[in-house]
Amino acid sequence: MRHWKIFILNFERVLEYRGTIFVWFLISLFHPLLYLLFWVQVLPNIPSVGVFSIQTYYLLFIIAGGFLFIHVESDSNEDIRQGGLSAFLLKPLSYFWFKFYSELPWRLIQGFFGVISIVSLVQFFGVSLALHFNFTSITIALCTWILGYFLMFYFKMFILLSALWFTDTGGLKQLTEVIVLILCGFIVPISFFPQWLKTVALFSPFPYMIYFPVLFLMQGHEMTEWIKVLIFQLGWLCIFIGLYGYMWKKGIRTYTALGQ
Amino acid sequence: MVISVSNLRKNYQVYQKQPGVLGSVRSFISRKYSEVHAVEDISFDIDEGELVGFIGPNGAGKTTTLKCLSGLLYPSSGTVTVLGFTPFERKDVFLKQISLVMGQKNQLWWDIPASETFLLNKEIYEISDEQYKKNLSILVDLLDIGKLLHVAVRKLSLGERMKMELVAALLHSPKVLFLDEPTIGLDVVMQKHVRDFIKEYNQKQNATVLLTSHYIEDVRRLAKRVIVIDHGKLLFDGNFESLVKKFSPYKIISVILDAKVEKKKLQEFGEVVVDDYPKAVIRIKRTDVKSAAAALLHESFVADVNIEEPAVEDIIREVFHGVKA
Repeated sequence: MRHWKIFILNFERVLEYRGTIFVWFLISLFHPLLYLLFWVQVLPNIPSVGVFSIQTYYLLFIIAGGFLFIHVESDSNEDIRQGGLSAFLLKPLSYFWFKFYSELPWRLIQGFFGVISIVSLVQFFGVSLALHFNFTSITIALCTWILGYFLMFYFKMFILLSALWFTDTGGLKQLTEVIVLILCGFIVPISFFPQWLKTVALFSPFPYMIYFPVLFLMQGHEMTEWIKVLIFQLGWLCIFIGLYGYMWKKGIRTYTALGQ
Repeated sequence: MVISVSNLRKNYQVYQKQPGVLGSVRSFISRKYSEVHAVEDISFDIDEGELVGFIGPNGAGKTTTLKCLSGLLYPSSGTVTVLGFTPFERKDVFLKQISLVMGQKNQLWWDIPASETFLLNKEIYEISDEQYKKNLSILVDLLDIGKLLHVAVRKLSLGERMKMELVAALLHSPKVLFLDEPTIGLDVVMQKHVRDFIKEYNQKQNATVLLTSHYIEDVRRLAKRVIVIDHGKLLFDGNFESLVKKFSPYKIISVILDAKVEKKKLQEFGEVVVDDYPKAVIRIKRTDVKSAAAALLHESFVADVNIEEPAVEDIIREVFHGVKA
C-alpha cells in the first residue's frame, strides 16, 4: 500500500509539470528518429542486414527509450551531495523501493507517449512495422522488458550510490551514458557490431537492458535464444542485487548527511 | 533509560585544499586530509519524558550527535542506544518510534500539498485510519493550519512549512523526538507557537525530546535540563540554575542615578559594565551582592537599585569563550 501511495504521489508530481514531461519525451523521440534517418541513408551499403528492419528497430526504441531509459541517477546531487537521503533513512522505508516507485510513473508516461507516437505514425503516415506477435512472443517480450527495466534501474542506482564515495558523479554519469548508448545498441544495432565488440557487448549486461527487449518484439526467435537471453538477464540481475546490497552496506557508513 | 550515550565519538576525514591555483594543482596530484573530531567522548543518559536542551556554538557537534542518535550517522566509536535499539541498525520498529526534525530542511514534497505527505506518512508508518484522523485533528488544531492543508508546499511561508514539518514528524506519535533548530528563521510570534507546541507535545505524550537551538530562549523556556557541548566535548550537563551558578559567579546590579557620578566611584562596588547616565550596570561577585546593594542604596547619588541574574546568552557566551571566572 505504501508503495502504491509513493507511485501515485509521484504520478501527481509528474503531471504537475506538463511542459517538462513533454520536453523530456521529445528527447526520447528525436534521438531514435535521428539515428533512423542516418541508417536509412547508409543502409543500402550494408549487405548483411537480412530480415532486420532498421525502421522498426528505431521506432521501437522510441518506446524503449521512454520506458527503459531510467534517469534515477540524476537524483544523486540532491539525495547524497545535499543530504536529501537523510529524509529516507529516518523512515521505515526502503530507499531502493522509494526510488523505484518514484521513477516508475515517469517511465510509464514517457513510454505511453512513445506508444502514442508509434500508433500515430502507423495510422496517419502509413509507416509499417515488422512486428512479431503471438501469445508466447508477447509473454517473453514482456518478461525481457520487465527484467530489462530492473537491470537498468539497478545500474543507474549504482551510479547514484557512487556519490557516497565520489560526491560529484557528473562525469561518471556522462561516461556510463555513452557506454549504455553504445552497448545497448542504440547508436549502432548490435548485429552490426564487429565480432569482437559484439562478443564483449553480449557478455556485458547492457544489451539485456534494451537491445533484446526491443529485438524480441520484432522477429520470430528460437526458443533457445529466448531462454539464453532470459538466463543472462536473471544472471546479471542476481549479480546486481548482490552488488547493490554490498554498495549500500558499505556506502551508507560513509554517508555524512551534510547539507542537512 | 530512553537514551543512553557512552563515550560517543564521530570523526570525519576532511580534505584540506591549499589556496590558489598552485594549491589546486598540488591537490590534484596529492591530497592532504585531516581528521575532524566532530564529537569527542560524549556520555549522557536521558530518561523517558525528559525535555533536554542541547546547546553549543556552530560546529560544536550538536547536530552530529543528533544524527548519531537518530541513526543517520555511524559512530566512529562508543555506544548509543535509543529505546533499547542501536540507532544505526535502523530497524523499522525503531524508526517508527522516533522522529528527527531539522529546521532548515524538510521531508515535505515541494510540489504537492502537505496533506499528501501526511497520507504517505500514514502508509509508511502504518498508522491506523482512526489514529491518523485523531492525531491529524489534534495537530492541525494545535498549530492552526486547517486552511493550509491543501495548498502546495512551495506556496507556504517558512513558518507555515515548519508547522507542516512538525505535523509530518509527529503523526506517528514518536516516543523520542529530536529537534534540530526547529525555530530557525521564524519570527518571534511563530517561535513562541512552536515552543508552546513542543512543550505541550512533551507533556501530553510523555515523549522524550532532545532539542538544539541557537536561541537560548527556546531552550531556557522549554528545558529544565541542558547539555552544553563545544568542539565536540561535553562541558556541562545539569539544570539551568546549576549552569548559571557554575559558569557565572557574578550577578548584575542595575543602578538608576540621581546625579552624575565619576566611573571611579562606581568601580568601588564592582566591574562597571555600562556607564550611561542615568543608568549604570555593575557586575558583582555573588558573595558580595548583598553588601554592595546595601552600600549603593546608602549613596546619595543612587535613586534605585535592581539585582538581576546575568542574561543566559551572556553566560553561554562566556562558557564558549572559556571565561570561567
